[in-house]
Amino acid sequence: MFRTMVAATLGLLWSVSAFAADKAADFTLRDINGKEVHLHDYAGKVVVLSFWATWCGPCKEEMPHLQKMFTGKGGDLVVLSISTDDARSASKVKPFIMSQGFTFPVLLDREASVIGTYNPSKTLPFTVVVDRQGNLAHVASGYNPGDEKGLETKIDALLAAH
Amino acid sequence: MGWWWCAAALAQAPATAEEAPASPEAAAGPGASVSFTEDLEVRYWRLDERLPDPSDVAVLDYVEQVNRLVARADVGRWGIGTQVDQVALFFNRFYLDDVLVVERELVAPDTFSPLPGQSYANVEKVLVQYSGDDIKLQLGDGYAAFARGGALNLNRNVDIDIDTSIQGARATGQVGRFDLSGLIGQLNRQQVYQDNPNALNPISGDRRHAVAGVRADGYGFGPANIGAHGVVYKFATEPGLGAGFSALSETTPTTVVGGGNVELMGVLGADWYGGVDVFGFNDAMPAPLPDAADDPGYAAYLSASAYPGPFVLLAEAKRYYQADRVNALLTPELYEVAIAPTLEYERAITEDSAGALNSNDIWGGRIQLDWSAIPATLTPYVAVAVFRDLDTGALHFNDVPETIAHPMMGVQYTGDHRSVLANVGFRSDERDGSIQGEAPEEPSLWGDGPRSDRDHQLHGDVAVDFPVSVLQAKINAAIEAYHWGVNPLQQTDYIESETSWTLAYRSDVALTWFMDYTTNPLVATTGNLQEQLYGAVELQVKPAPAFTIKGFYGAYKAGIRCSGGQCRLLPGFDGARISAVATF
Repeated sequence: MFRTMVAATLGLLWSVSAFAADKAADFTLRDINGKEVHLHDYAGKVVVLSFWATWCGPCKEEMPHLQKMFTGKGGDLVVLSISTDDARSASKVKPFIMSQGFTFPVLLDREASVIGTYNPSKTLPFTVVVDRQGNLAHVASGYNPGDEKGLETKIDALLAAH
Repeated sequence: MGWWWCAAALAQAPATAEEAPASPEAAAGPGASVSFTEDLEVRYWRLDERLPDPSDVAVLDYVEQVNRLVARADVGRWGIGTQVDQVALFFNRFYLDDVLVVERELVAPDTFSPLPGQSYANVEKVLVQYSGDDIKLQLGDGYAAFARGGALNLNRNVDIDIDTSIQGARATGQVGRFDLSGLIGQLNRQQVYQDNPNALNPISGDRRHAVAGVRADGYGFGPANIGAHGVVYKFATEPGLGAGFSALSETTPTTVVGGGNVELMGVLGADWYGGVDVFGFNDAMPAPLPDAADDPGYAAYLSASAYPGPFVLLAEAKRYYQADRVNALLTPELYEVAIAPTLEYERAITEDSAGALNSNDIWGGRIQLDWSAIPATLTPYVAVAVFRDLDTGALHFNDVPETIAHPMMGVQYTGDHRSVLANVGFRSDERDGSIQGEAPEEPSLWGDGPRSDRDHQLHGDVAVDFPVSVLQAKINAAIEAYHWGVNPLQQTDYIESETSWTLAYRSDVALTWFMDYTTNPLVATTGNLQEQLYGAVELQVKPAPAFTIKGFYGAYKAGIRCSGGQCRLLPGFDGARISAVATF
């Protein structure tokens, strides 16, 4: 019975993958000011989804690089910084962003529903790049100094593609 | 073990180019995505134990293999997902003179396991969801948190290996300015631990408590966002797949919570948040404060943040009374259903301060001031927390109320490939002038003399990143020193530290040396280098951005660890392990 259930579930998933175009799953979240944001609001643009939390050191190292990309590459690049801090820590998110002077949109994924879709293991930081067609173009877990160069190269190529 | 690589090959089929969507519907449109996350770990546990005859040292080593596969598919507005966990023990029988002396039990005798021998597998999570324009429906396992978590806060806590979901149905919808949500289900605790040994306690199923809740959030009423909620918990007393739903119609331990919150944005130059939860308990609920068994509980939390010039000020306050009583039956199951903000610095914590963290009668506050000296680069900060803990039961070291003061200061610097995250703090727990028992005169970290009513804790953390030629060096160090006043549990001062030194080539390869040190006589482990010194080495390789392989050899100490308001006594480790985690 168990093996049948597992086989059936995996079979269903694989059959989906046969026609999959690696489409980025749409989502709706509130930002730190209560405004509703949908992924589909940014259709036609290159979107970076950066999952982080206030307690995550490598996330804090990566965020200044994302800020530079956000301000330096024009309006065709959108950085959606998605805080996965749980409900208890929600009051800390906006003060942290303000203390760093970041200007990219910051969304609150308090129930980890969106990161659960893109990264079920919920490790941080986790970065997803969505191309202009809404497809997943790049997925990376973790951050080490220097990783931002590879990410920027990928983003530049996607911005150049029309 | 090879089948999941086949899945990877299937899932990594080249994507088909699509035209840019012309509408929101098209963006969510007919495309699909499939992802798999595979987490495989094999651990060799080294456990040398001395038998009653001192000349016999039994080597009770064993091997544990743990596997977690998470699969998820999204097609248009539909999503499905599952998580399958599996664990097996090997080399787990030990004979002395042909007599079996040890065989660890992985699964309790009356628990169903679909796999033979010392192995077990379970479909831990299943999820089907539909996302419409203004409505989202979810069937299966999901997580939920209302407001700041005081009434309901069930989420996966990766740090300390806790994963309890709500298995049932949930609907969320949007009506005008309101987000509405309703859920009902049973609590589904993970059966297979990913990081901790599964052989400590036989897998025996869980008591599936029932929970039902509703929540309404309203946005954009001038500067105000508002919310209200209600939650009912019916706690099952026996294990069983349908125990929670059976409990709905029975007289079982029950907690009812009602609450509301207001958020004001940019009022009087600050952002404000205030929330209150009120708890009602039936007679079957355990009462951690026996003299107040008939009292309702409550949890009030307030925060304010202001941003004058280069400064950011965050002030938080709390008053919790019998709020943690809702979790009173869950201690053996190692999770909590509701956790309000603790305001504690959880990185350096003891069994005593963990008691304050889950106190049933506490009030206090915390203020932090950040100075953006160089925006996005250099931010020093200072903070101070003060609590008045009136709870003297449970894990508390004190039998009288105590006052806790905890000042801290730190700095965050993030330059080009260089970063420093550092802080130091000092925590003082001062009991209300009643020496508990004799006050011995003995040497301590703070000098000789009679011990007082105060417990002191000095702690510091530093994480430094800097380039070394083409490599990146990372140093992490945390040190804590404890000086105890007179208390019934811990009287020996101690120092402990955890350090790691890493050399990394981008994210591709990293080599790390870990070293733990503790003089705590109550620690449950012994060092592998010296009695108080633990060493380990880890090699990490990332063949692809979302594919990590790690090999670890050595030991680390046991100890208490708190994350997200939840504390666990985590066992140490001595041995070797190899793990592979891939998302594709």
